[in-house]
Amino acid sequence: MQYSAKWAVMICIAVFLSVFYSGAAFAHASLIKSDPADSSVSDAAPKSVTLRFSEAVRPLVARLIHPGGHTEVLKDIGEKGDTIVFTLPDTLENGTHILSWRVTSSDGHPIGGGLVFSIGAPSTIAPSVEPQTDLAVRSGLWAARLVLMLGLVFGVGGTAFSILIAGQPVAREEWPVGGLLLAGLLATPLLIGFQGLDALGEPVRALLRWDAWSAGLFATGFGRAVVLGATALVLAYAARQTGRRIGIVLASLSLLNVGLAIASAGHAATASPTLLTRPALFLHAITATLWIGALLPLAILFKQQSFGAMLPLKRFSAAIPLIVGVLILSGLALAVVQLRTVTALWTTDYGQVLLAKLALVAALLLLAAFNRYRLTEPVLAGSKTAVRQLRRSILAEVVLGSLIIAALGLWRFTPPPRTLAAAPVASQEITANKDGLSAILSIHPPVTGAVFVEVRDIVLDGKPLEPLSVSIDLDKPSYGIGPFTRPARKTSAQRYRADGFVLPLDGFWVVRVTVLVSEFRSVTLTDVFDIAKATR
Amino acid sequence: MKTLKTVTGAMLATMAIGLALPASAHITFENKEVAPGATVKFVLRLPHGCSGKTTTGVRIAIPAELTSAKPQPKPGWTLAIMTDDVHKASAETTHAHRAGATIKEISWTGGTLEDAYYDEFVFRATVSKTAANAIFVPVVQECEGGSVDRWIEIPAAGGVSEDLKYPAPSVRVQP
Repeated sequence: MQYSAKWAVMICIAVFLSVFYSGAAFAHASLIKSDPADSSVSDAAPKSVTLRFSEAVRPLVARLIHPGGHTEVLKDIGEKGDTIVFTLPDTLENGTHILSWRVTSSDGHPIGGGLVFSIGAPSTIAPSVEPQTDLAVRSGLWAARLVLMLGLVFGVGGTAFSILIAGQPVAREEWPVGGLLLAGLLATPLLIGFQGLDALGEPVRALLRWDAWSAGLFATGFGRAVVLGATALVLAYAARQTGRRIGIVLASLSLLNVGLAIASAGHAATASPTLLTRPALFLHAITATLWIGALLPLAILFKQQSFGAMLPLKRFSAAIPLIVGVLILSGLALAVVQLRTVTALWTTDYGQVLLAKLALVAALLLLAAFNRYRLTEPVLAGSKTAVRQLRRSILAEVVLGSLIIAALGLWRFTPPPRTLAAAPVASQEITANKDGLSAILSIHPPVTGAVFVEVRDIVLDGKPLEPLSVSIDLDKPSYGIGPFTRPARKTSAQRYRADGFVLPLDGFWVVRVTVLVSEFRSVTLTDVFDIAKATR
Repeated sequence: MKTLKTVTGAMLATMAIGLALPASAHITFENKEVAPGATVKFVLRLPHGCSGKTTTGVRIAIPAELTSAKPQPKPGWTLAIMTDDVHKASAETTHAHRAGATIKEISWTGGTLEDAYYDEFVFRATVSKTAANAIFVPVVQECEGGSVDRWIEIPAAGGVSEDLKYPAPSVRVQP
């Protein structure tokens, strides 16, 4: 194994593991005091917001969400040890404002929180967040993501096919696969930058500033996904440079990383129940990569008309029914979770993207079935015409595969129908349990804007429990907003209620209920609420 | 085997990155590891907490894995212990050993520890012979003004305390 490849692998594994370790974004510095205080109502607009922490912190990003719903990233941030001062704009209108902040504690852990304050009186109109990202940023985001995805699917998938399925040394003619790996790697920093712009709601020129990059990497779960993706690319590249045995290990690791990257962020990864959606997404990503990724090396192999292509084809034909089977089942599970209803397929943007993707997949499946059941046998029998047909058909599949990946990228901009419940219901109820404790959690109403959370029927080991205290926090980790923490007060026997939450964005909100069972024991229930967009 | 070497190298590199991070600012024990069956001096370290306010009391719950607990008195703090048979007894009355009384709770109260300072609270206990993995000792930190910080969160099996906001201090059991 070459030294450079060896070092590349070591560094990648180290980065990969440390990204996972640093996923614990909670501990350490905590907010001690804020001015204005959380949920305060004042007559005059405050000039600034001051946050004091238990230890020195550095500001990362702060977003002010106005009563009208538009978001502004605060630029003027002063820091002095454990105190951070955000200067507010002079032109604050009356109503409820939300400040969402993220800071880094001295040990490098990012922590976040939210603060709600009102001027005049709390506004009752639910803020709805308008699209904040401009077209250039969205196109850049989509393009950089597309290149990375092509690198992952064709590069990593192609490498995995050659090494794991075909079981052959990587051929020199397979340079397009290596090229796509490199292209994906080059797109990685750009994607991080554009993600930062998207997260901060900044125009393209803000790429010159450091905070855009740091937000792209740390502010949302997408940063981690990109790092995992890049690791997969480097591992695949190293796998191509080494001998067979190490190659198998590296290619498998690389494929694993693709699955983890895709399953670690985005609409589907955070969809409840995550116990179903995350593994489904992981399997979906891995099988799709194996299938689509195999096409490019196969097409290249058949260019030679050599018999070296026969064994890989045989093995691919044997493996593909299982791969496609898992792909379809996992895709089905995800579609059911995301869509909820069949009509959502054509009535929502999300559904239309899925419909387009499904049409492309159907075409791809038809071609694949034709190849598998009509052409494979004549090819294996040595028919020249069949080889030519197969090659053309595989190239068509490559094009279809690329189109599918391009369509996928559009999902980044369309909220899934489950979050767009047309008629907002009065509340949403979930039963959460952990360590023998269960409770019914409900959110009223499950739409953006002012909400309250109720916890009732708390049962410990089968017996009703009157806890010492109950505290609730709501958090939208994929966007780096929150957590907003509120103590719950007892409203009646077995009922606890926390008011004063204002949710600025629709989609998934993680709810954590900390129940103090006894002086020395607490249980934290974690679940997810689906929040719909407020319709005005 | 080269692969093994590479993976080991990567692990070491990761560990180096991990160790380079500063120690956590949570309540912790000075001892990191204990052996089953050993009698150990536990030193509880209080870096801060109480959201900037003065700490006025520290109460700990002795888990079932620790027996024969004996706290060290601290000048300026009132020491009290609670056993499972007697509801609450002061340190003086329980000075003589009574068979069968197991200490469940120790508290040092009435003192002052300002946010700017750091202090340690000490007790001695015997680790059960059957203890395994880790022992968590829930701590309640009482603050001026009546509020409390509860360092009582115990990670789920397989989890790490790092993920928690108020982790209970723990020691690893190393046979």
